[in-house]
Amino acid sequence: MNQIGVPASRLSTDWWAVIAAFAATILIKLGVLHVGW
Amino acid sequence: MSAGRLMRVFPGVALMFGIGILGKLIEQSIDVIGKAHGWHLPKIEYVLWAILLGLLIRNLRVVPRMCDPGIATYDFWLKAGIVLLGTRFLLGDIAKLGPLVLALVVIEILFSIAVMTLIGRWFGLGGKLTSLLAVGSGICGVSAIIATEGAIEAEEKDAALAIAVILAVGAVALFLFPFFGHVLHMPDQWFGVWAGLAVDNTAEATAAGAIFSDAAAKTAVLVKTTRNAMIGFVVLAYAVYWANKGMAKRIERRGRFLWEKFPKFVLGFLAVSVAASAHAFSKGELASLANLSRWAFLITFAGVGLRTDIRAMMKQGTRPLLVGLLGELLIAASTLTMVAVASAFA
Repeated sequence: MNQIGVPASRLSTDWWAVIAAFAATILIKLGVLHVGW
Repeated sequence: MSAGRLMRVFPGVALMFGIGILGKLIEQSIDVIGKAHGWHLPKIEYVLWAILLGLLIRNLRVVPRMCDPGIATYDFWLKAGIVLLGTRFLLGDIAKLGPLVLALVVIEILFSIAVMTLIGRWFGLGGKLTSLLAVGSGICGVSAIIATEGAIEAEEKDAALAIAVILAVGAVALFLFPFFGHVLHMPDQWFGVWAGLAVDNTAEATAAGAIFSDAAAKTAVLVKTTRNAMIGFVVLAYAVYWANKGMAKRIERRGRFLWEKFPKFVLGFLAVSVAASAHAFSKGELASLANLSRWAFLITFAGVGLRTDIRAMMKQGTRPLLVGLLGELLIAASTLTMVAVASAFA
């Protein structure tokens, strides 16, 4: 198991982080997501 | 990911998020109080509050065990934050800084490995434990130690010990580096280079940069990521060394080995940077992406505090800890000299 509870042989935390960041980027690009601070 | 797994990580993630928000509120409240009374209160970033609150809660032993799986995801938030930070680096900036950063990183790695190996031998630590400490201080802390443990067939207890030492040294460094950076009046960019070169774990290096300033954090991430990208080469060199001694198996497919050890989030970071350089994002979208990166780091910094168990670290024995601290002291001093020389020529 890796650190986010996914079997390490299938997908590493690195790839999950890239997928999550890309998904958020697409949502922001589509205007669905606006993030303040 | 299944709903069950999401539920398992939820309490810890919610705790990290809550601590991060509290850190942000404390920073803002101090600012408001100072302005209302005309007091000149020191500006302490949310980063430091989030780490300190996490550290306090962990060491008061009040964190329920059900939060542990979620706290372990701090690494995921860190890497997602770094990928998103790619929007703030144009390829031109990377190309400009790249050769200098790469040269400094290569020198730092060679120097750190040599120093740790010498001190480890001097203190009579085992060969493989010394190798793990050398890789941990030269490259990127925990991930490098885990990668090397498998490649050189080190014992699990040595890896656990090396990780504890590197985390303890990183915890001390993330407070001391910004302090000395301010004392020495270092410019943001050069402080970021120093933190990225010398602080051991990626989360701690990012935090040390962020405690100093936003700009320093940006540079620290770039330098630390370059160090991380070297992981495969160094682990492979150690694997060959121990295999030649007949104390680890030979690696047949070296290209595949290098790819397996390469930190893939660096590719995501570069892809986002390429998109930003091609003007794929509007000003508003860039602001949203930068803010999302900050939120991811906010969770990470709370996680850094929450997983730092001081008592558990002290239990690991004094010799390895002394090797770690002495080695880090020499690495900090030598990288500071490197940065001073580089800044004079840049």
